[in-house]
Amino acid sequence: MDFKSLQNRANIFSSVKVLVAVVVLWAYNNKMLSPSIEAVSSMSRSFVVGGVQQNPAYYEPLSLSSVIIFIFLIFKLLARNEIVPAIRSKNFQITSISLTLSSLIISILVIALAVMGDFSPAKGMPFLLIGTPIVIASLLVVDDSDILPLKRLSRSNSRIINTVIIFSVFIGMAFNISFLPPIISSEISSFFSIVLILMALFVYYQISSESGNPLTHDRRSSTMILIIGLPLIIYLSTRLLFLLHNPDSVTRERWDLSWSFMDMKNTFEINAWPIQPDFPEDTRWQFLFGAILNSARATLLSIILCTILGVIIGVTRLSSNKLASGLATVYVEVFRNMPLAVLLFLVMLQLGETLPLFSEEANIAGWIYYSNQGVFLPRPETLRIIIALAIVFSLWAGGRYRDRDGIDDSPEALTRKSLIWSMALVACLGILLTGDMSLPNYVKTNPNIPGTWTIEEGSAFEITKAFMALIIGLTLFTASVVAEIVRGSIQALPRGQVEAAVSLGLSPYQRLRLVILPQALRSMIPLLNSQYMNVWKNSSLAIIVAYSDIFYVIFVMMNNVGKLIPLFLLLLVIYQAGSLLISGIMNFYNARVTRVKI
Amino acid sequence: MRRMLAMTMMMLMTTAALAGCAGSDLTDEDVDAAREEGRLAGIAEATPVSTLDTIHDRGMMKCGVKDSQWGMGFADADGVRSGLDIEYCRAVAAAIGLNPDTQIEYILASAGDRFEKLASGEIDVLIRTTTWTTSRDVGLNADFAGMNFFDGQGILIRGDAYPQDAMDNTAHNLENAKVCVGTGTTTEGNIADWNTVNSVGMEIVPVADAAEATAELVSGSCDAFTGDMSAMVAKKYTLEAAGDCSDCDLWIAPELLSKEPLGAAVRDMDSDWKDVVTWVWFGMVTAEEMGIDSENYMDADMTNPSVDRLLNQNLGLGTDANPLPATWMQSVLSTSGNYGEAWDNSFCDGTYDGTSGSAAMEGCVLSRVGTANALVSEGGLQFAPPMR
Repeated sequence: MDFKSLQNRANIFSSVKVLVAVVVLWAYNNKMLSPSIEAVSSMSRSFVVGGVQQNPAYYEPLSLSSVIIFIFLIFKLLARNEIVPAIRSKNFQITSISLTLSSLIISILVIALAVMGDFSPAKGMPFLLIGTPIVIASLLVVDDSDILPLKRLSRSNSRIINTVIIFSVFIGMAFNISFLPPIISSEISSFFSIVLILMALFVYYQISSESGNPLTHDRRSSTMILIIGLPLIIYLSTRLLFLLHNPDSVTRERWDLSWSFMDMKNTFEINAWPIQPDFPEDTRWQFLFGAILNSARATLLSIILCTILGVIIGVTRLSSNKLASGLATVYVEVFRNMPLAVLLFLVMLQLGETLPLFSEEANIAGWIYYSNQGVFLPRPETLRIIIALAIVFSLWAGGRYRDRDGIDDSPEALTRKSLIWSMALVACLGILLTGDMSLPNYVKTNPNIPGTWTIEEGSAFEITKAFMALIIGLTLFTASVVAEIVRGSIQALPRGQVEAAVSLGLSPYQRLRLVILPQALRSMIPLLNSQYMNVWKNSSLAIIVAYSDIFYVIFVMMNNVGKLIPLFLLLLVIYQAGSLLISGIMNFYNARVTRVKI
Repeated sequence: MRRMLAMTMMMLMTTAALAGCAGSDLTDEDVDAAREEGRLAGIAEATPVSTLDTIHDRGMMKCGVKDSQWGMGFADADGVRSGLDIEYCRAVAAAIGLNPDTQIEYILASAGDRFEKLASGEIDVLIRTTTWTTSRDVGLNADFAGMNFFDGQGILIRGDAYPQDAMDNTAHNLENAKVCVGTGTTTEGNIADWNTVNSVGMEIVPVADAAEATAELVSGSCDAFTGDMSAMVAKKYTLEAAGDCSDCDLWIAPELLSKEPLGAAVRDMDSDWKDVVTWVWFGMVTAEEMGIDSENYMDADMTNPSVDRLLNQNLGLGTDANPLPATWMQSVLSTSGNYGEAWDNSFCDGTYDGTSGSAAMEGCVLSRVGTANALVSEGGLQFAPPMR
């Protein structure tokens, strides 16, 4: 095949590509713009009878135009931010932000015109409000071009002239919309689609012609994204405005974004710890808060447990012992391939079937009571728990302080360290157990009814079956993924690292602890981060095991009061905040382990 | 040359813009036209299409039902649906002129998503043991139509942990019991209220749905299960029939914790459709009051004006485009029968003749005699406003 036919083929391919892009853009632009135009048209239509606005969708022109235009300006600022570089540069010149200024002036002029000019709601107003973002986007297009006229003028002059020309044409059209040929005036969305496609093609041509420096190239790419995103931005902003004032009263009520119903008393009970909301006194907010703590503690415990289990299994999978690595592989494949919802249901059923019935009063020497309704454990004094934790923490902190200049890993130091730790742990255990350990206090209110026995409030630490099932399910599932992350990260290490460790005479444990894991950690943490977020999000399946989590509480509230959209927003914000918190902590940790570059 | 071109263009544009400003004085005609358009659009938006017309356009009625509660909405192993809710659905379809065997699409509605399905138009009518409450009527964009069943909340108890005799046959002694309750229903609020008001001291365990509650009850993780009395009776019946819980010694506490009027729900502000759904039910009750059933409606005494109104007039039901056929009640009777027959088909052996009174029903899992669901003439609450 000679060069020419290859060239032809490439040409044909690229023209087909452009053609497909134009067709897709045409459909997409129309799909987004025509409902936006309808929405603006119905929102700007004023119909007053006896001093009362009869059109429920109506917005004052000021608020309507400013919301639509300023939402777009924010996106424009994302696509081309002149302000930040201008502030950073030493010598600030007004011309360096002339594009931002001109779009701001255009916006203010348009808002003023929308308020004062009597634009018809059928055509004029949609044309004006949807057209303004397109005008602003076209300023960016023209600014990047180097083939348009006016090249001999200075950059700032040409910007001003371009702005004036485009804006005058646009305003002229907006005022005379009813006199324009029907191809524009009755098909506003098609007209705007064509304009947007032409702009996109122009920018595409410029990008592919590879003229200009890298900076200009970047600008053109972001302009392209802005042009393609524009119909969607317009659609979303007009749609939101429309839904808030929807003429269909059913929909309007659903979009009523107020949370006052959350201040009312809750209508159902949940089991929460450590803060148990009080039915029927507490408000829905307090119940939601209790549920957030419920989800958070399950997530936290499950993250800790799945990390420990996952590291053990991941390392075991790499073991040279075939039995151990085989078992670890089986574990990973079984739990990784099982849907979490199914796993949770299985765990719940199994706990219910395996543990003894509550009425059997199964216990271990009166210290631990267990049944398929939960487990009661002895409860040490709070003060002693704090003392024990303080000892462990100070020992850990002391160790960190001694090792600040590098770990002393001579055999004597290691022996000394393990001796200190084991002595401290024995001491802690002693402190916990010697005190007034509160044992479960068995009470039975009615001797004739087997089910009425219970453990006196506060005398024992109760773990409900729901919590156990959730923790077991989440941990087993996530540990299988964590194990794969650990294995992958270890295998990604250069073999030389292990060989070097072997040749230094390190024991297998030392190799793992001092050479392999610290380095594997660097690639593990970003992956673990997303797994930890998954634990947080997966905890929303808790309702399967009858655990009262955030999703459950919001779900029941939805059912009691309707208010789907406010409650769903609340749900999204809570899960988002939790994910961001986990991500923030993990990124902080990641920055620490990657501080030393290799 | 280029510069000249640019200058000319700029001049041209400015002129156009100025001309535009000059021409912006809209005439009164333009304004009036816009107002008129607005008024028309406003009115067009205010009168939505009735669900009844939508159903006729589609040729299919979408009925939101349950498939797990024997006696109300149940689908057996072969997928055959039965129950009082299903009878109601079929009656509505027959009344509006659809074929109840082929032109109903049953859509499973769960406790949690039923009102969302209704509001979004995924179903046309919700007949799924749905309790009529104030907040649902006000907040959920649902309007309640005929009340086909007066239920109350009951508690199904495991006798091995809480024996019926030792408990003096009352749920007030359920101290420390773990009571499972399905979520997304009115029952979880009722049991919480009842527990607080009577200081029973039970512990309420919210579970996802009835299936999970059953699993928890069978394993003993829950000592009791609470829900609508009709559901409790059916649950006890099915568990005992299947032998799943042979050691459980199940019993039902006599207390009714609440009143649960179950009925059909339609979307707000669709009164034509709501009237149809409501009056189909009233028609079935009226037919029973008059002693008209699926067997004898052909031979009924049409000279009696009230019988004639019931069987041969549509009384204005339906929309302008789709009024109900004059013989709509005859279709209802041939499909589901009167209320007594529908009850018999759902809860009893299906041999009731439809006219001899609810005491004559045989083989009932849930008895009708002496309950609120008997006709007013038998001391119950089932009553229809006059059909005229």
